Amino acid sequence: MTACQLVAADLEALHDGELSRESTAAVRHHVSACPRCAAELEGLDAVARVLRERPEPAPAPGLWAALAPRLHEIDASLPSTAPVVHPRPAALRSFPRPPVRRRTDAPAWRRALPPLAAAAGLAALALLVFGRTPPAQALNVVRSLDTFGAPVMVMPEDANGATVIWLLDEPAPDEPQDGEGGHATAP
Amino acid sequence: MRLRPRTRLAALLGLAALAILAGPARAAEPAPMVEVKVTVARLSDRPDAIAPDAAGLYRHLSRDFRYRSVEILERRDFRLRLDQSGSLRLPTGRWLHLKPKRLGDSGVLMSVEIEGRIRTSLRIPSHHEVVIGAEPYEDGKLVVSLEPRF
Repeated sequence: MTACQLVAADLEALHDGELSRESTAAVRHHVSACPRCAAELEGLDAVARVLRERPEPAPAPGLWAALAPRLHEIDASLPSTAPVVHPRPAALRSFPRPPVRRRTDAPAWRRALPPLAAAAGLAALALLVFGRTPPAQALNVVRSLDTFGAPVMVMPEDANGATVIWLLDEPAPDEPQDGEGGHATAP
Repeated sequence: MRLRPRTRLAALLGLAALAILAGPARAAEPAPMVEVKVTVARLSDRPDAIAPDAAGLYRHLSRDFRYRSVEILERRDFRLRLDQSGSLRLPTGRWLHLKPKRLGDSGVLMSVEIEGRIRTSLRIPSHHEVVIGAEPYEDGKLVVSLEPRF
């Protein structure tokens, strides 16, 4: 195994700042003397730069105009949320209502419990939703890609948290050149 | 040989310190494992409904592709150590090879190969899904989805 092959696996880690100080020095020493590995490292840096500078995707201009009328339709179709009041049965009307224990009767710590529980629940939910994956913008999943000459589309992570790598099938010479027989739409 | 009390105490303290230092070194840390959930599916324009267990995959793809049918062909959970390979034969006869190489803050660095179609190096955070539209299959497209957990 050549030195380049040994170092190849560490170039990614060097690029991501994950090597120990000793390994960093050793890999940098090799890279400084090896144009091939230096080019490989430069390639990783270049890909990261391009992805960093990628503009934030903006919603389509007509999205809200198309969405707003549908929201009104959905709103109108929902049942009323007014509270339902059940009348007291006639047989019970002559009896006085039982005393209601006011919340203020409870000790302060007990009154604080519901909001604290709600806050803890919200925090747990936020942790569950946002804590599992880092923000989409921080991801740079595809580090190198060889498709044996086939054209490929790479769609960085979507709102649902997936990265899509799509190999396009080479159309036969007599087929129309619209890619995927009309299935794929350009991102 | 009789030791003076102070010397004996120092020797005992020294032994205790050595035991404390040697303890963690002796207990070997378990090798990190990476679980990789692999799903193989066929996308096509058949008039079938989307299979319920394929709804997640369909959600990822429906933004960019207009297939009407998603059918799960195989699911496999791999538990791999770093530098350990996992392989799966796809319905097209090609082999899928996975090899987690390194774990870092930004995810697992994993080499993925579908023989003759794609060879790639991916840095995937835990629970992040990577979907590869690999090759034509029957009347549709063979799709491989990978989701590492660690």
